[in-house]
Amino acid sequence: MDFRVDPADIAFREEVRAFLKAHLPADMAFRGQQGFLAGDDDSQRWTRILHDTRGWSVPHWPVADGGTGWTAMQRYIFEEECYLAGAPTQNQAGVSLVGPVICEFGNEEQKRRFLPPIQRGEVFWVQGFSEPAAGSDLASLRTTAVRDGDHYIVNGQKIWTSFGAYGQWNFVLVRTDSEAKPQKGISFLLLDMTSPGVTVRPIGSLDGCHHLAEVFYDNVRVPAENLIGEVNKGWSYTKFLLFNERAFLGAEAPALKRYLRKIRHYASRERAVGKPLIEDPAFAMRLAQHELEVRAIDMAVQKILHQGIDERSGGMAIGSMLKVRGSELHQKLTEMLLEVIGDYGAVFYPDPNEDHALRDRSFIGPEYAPGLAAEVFYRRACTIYGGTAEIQRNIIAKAMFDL
Amino acid sequence: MDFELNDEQRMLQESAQRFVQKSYTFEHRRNLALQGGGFSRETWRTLAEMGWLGIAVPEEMGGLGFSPVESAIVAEQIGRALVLEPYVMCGAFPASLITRCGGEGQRETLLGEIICGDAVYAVAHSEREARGQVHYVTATAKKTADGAWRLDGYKTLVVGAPVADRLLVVARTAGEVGDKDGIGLFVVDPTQSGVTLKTCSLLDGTPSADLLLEGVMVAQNEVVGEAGRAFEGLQAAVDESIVTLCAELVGDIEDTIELASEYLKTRKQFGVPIGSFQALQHRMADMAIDAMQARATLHRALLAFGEDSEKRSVDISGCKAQTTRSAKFVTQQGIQLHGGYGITNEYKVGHHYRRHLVLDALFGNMDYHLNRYARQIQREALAAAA
Repeated sequence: MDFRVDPADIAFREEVRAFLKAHLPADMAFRGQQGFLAGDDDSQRWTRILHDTRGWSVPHWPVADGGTGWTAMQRYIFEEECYLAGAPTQNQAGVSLVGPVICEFGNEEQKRRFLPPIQRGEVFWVQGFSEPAAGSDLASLRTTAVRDGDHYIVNGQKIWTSFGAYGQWNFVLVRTDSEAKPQKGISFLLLDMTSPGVTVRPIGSLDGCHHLAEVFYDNVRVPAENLIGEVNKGWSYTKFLLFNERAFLGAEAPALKRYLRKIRHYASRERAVGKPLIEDPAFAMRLAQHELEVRAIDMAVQKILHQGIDERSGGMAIGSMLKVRGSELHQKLTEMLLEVIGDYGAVFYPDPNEDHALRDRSFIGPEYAPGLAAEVFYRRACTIYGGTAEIQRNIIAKAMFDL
Repeated sequence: MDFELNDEQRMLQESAQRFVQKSYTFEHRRNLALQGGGFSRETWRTLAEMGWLGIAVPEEMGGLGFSPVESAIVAEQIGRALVLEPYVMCGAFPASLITRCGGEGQRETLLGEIICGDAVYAVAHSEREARGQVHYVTATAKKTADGAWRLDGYKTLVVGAPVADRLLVVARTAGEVGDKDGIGLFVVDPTQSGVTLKTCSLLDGTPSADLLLEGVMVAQNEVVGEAGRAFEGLQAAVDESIVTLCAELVGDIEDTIELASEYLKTRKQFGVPIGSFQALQHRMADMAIDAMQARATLHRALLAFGEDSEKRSVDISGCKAQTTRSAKFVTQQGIQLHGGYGITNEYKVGHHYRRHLVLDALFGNMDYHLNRYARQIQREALAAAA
């Protein structure tokens, strides 16, 4: 047991910082720091920059498919430095969800067609999993795909499609066998959203934005060659994807660190009755408590990065544990950030990534106020997406204690 | 002590319930927020016609002559229905301010306008660095040679300002920034020279603004009461308004619980209603306990009105902190229990969480009020030990 940080990792972090300084556009970094969800323009433009400069847009993919071959630690360092510098999140559905599924289970033709545009940020992917009646119970999904010659005909509806309104391609879980047990009758299809019969309805959320959508499929014809792997084997590909989703979501520690940094910074500038807010002992104590919890999470993440996850005997529970505790901290810290700006915490700041005309507008209050409330509302969802906190606790109890 | 509503109070409650059920559906509210600028003059007039804008104003001054108890009864329904029009900030608060601070002839005139709904008043009392402290006032009021007053400074979170006919501005006539003496209350016309409203919406769609005052001239008769002696009335009006906001929060809490309970019974996953899962049953039980505590705290706050003013004010601070804590937990869980639907605008439940964030920011947040209450504990404990 030796906790000294590997000099190679320190050097790599420096390399990433230098890269970001040279290649992350200042306007993008500014927007990335605010807290609004990245617009598709910034996500794709950044992916393009990463690809063109260093081939760094899909580091976690297999090397043969365009990945960088970095260690888990290096991938994490890269993600953390990008985040702290304000780099926009990339199109996660493409880069982190369907991309790895295609790498693992796709055929050569599918890899050739679909992977390069994801790598270059040319195609925006969205996820089609949940349905109005299939949330936690995803396997009960009812969108159907019926084989008709060399096409599948898709009918049904998906909900909670993040960034659905920007979607160009859509990976969808469909039911291809209604007689079999639910998990054994699901297939994984890649669907062009410009196909006739696809309707997207944006869903307004509490933050005043429309990042979510419902997608309706009315006799949509999908070429059979867009089926990933084998028919009716989609649930196993889904489990592969969900594990990645959980692991990558669970380790949202960089976001936690950024909140802490912001709270320290803003609370030193905000004044309450003549003194910086950070000088208030009660405030500082609450911050201390949260910071210590974040440090524990960070250390737990370091352990996974160095050791990997032991799939036997309850090791799988760690992803769920990180998600449960991490999500709670996201919620507490984003609320705390809103408190820090006092009266301006009650003010609505519209999203400049939904309406680009707002990007040059000035608003009342401190320059760091816009985006803080948006993050509070967004983080209410983090105990719901990727498996609710209740489901995660079930997983932990089962995996660790066989309860 | 009597916890039962008397006949008059019961009638008031029923008429408030009828009003929101008939005229303030969630659909109505959504449209008002999206297209109506968050305020309807017609609704304001209706509130006025019911007498609710002057509930706690003495009868001889044109009000209904009731007490904070009756304000709370109406406010709870306002909270349940998420009424956008600023019932407290543009109704109860300025009415209380003028009742307590205003001079003889002045009160009738100004209160008359508020109570009949003819003039919307917005109160510019808060400042960026005050963060809840009522006597932290940096905006200045300087008397000029001809007896008028010149106002300069910057006020924040002036709720209702974009739709207001009059602004009530708190500014300092004398003394240092944190002094209780030397605080004055002035009536300002929002369209007059030197007034700049930097308008915005609040998180829930309520219209609001920051106010920049640059050489705003106020005539002697537009000073409310005696210049420089407004603090006591101001603090009392703030206390009264905080209690009424606590009642709103109780309404938010109760409605959230009803919505969540209904959802748990109808939403099915894995072949069963999700309300059959023990974890969620326990969650509802915890929410119910917080609701009980919040209502009890509201009662405690109403009781505090019988106390002397210093103790009353701090007790009410404690009540705001406690009620907000309960509201935070209940409204957070209201979202959680609705899954994805809790995040959407289309479902009502998430709006109660959003509303509690606004209420937390008004008149100082949970931490500020808890700190204030804690300092009283320190004083009392040390005094008792001495």
